[in-house]
Amino acid sequence: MVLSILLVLGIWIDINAGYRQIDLSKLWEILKGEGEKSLRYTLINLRLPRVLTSLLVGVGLAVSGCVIQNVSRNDMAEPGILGINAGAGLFIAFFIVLIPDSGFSTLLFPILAFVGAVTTAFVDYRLAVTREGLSPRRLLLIGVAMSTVISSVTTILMLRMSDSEYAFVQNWISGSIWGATWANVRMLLVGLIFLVSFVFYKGRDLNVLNLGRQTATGLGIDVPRQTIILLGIAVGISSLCCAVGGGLSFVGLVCPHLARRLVGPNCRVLLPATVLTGATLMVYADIISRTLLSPNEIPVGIVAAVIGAPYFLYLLIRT
Amino acid sequence: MNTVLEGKGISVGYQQNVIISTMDVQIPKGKITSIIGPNGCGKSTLLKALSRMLPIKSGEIVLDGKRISEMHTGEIAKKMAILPQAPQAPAGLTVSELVAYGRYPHQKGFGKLHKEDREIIHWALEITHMEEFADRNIEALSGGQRQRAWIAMALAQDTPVILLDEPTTYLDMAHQLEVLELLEDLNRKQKKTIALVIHDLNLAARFSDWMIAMRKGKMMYKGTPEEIMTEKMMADVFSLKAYIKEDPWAKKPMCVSYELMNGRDSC
Repeated sequence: MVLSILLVLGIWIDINAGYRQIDLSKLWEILKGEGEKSLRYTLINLRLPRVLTSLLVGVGLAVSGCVIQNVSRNDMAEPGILGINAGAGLFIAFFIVLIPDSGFSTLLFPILAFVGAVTTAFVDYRLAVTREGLSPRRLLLIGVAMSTVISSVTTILMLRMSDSEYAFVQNWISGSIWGATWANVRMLLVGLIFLVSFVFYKGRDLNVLNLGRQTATGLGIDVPRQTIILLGIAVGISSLCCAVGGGLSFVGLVCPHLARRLVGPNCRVLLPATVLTGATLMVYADIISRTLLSPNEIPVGIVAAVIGAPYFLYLLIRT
Repeated sequence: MNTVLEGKGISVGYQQNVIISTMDVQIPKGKITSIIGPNGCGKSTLLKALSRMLPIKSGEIVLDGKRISEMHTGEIAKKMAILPQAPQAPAGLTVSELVAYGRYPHQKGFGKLHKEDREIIHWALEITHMEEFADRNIEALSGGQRQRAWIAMALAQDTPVILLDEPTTYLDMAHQLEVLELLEDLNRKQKKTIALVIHDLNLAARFSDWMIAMRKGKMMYKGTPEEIMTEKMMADVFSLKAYIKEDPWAKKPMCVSYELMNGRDSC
């Protein structure tokens, strides 16, 4: 409840974060299709897609993190640990090195990042799966190793780049909302509605998997099969987010924990709470990232970590 | 003797190590069966194999006349509940939520609890005397209460057969008794078939109708407590020289004292 109010307030501040102020009456006018042209342009083409992208990326990463944590029964797990952010970064770095001066396409790069992310997850999976099925623990360890290898290769590639390219990739890896166009928002929205509702539908399976492999088997869940399906969905969600949000790592780790502290581990309430914590954290991080050093932007991933981590520490110490 | 769960020539092991090879075992219907034996004898492995936690390398397991290899795991879960050794609940989960998870095999779709589900959850909490702790976090419970909460979850599964892997380990004497009396009650009043792995032989003898003694992956003895609890069994299975007398209260055989045998080979 409190979170919803915070979120709405955050969206409002975020819309207004910038040079031109938009008050409620003007917002209403614009939504009705009236109002000043330039202001309308600012809102519809710049601010709104940006706010929506932050929000959706927050939701996606948080839900994906929640799924991975539940399935692997590991509190440290998050989408980035599988190396998918690193993989996306590598593909982008490769592209820049191979085809210099191509510009930073808001259409092509999300696709590249998505493909890089999914490819890495698939390699992880191939390496982790054995005759006995997929052990999430093994998958996470392989993800950590893959992530390190890929990051090193990316760094080597980055050393060959021009300053502006280097800065772009560095920003991207730290996590920044950059492909905020309506085309990307639409893609993200459609993808997330589909995948996140599937996760909601799987809520009771997630609950039971969280009791451990043996108990879950006893309750009649096909553990190996559901583990693969759910991890696949989580990878899909976070790859989508990574495509437009870059290497955001902290959100997926901390938001499920925040939600768990607030409402407990039952997915029927945990998942909606995770959606809210993810959206709220990212929207506020976006506000700060755009205003603190205005007109320069701080990568939103860094801001999310700076505001999220102390609150997380506070919660851990208090309980 | 009516058999509800049966292993026919089963071999079980981890990776290359074979723990149990070609064993035949029957769990009688409507009885309490204890599986006993020294550490590492394969009794937990047997229970895991019977409950499909571990895949069997050969042989067949038959539940209620049907091969479990041909049954869907959800179908098995409606007939047989399993309580693993030292299960761990996620932090912050309440007792009633845990018990509600036991309804999993009977639910569809988003898992909304229907009237029937709620009635069974209530019954499971009541019979395990966990009603007053329903909204308590599981980690805030004592060992005995926690074990009762897990048993309540298994009961909410509403199955005729319940398998338990060392349900009394880590509990003090009073709480061990409490758990076993609960199981006895469920067996007598609800006609549930119960099979458990247990270390305390005297408690096993006192509460079981049927006992299975294992050593080195083999079934050495099976029978009623009176047939099983003999000085010969103690020597053959546990390599102990034991003094067996009748428990003056429970009227069941009990091991009063014991010592290591000379030339005991470790198992």
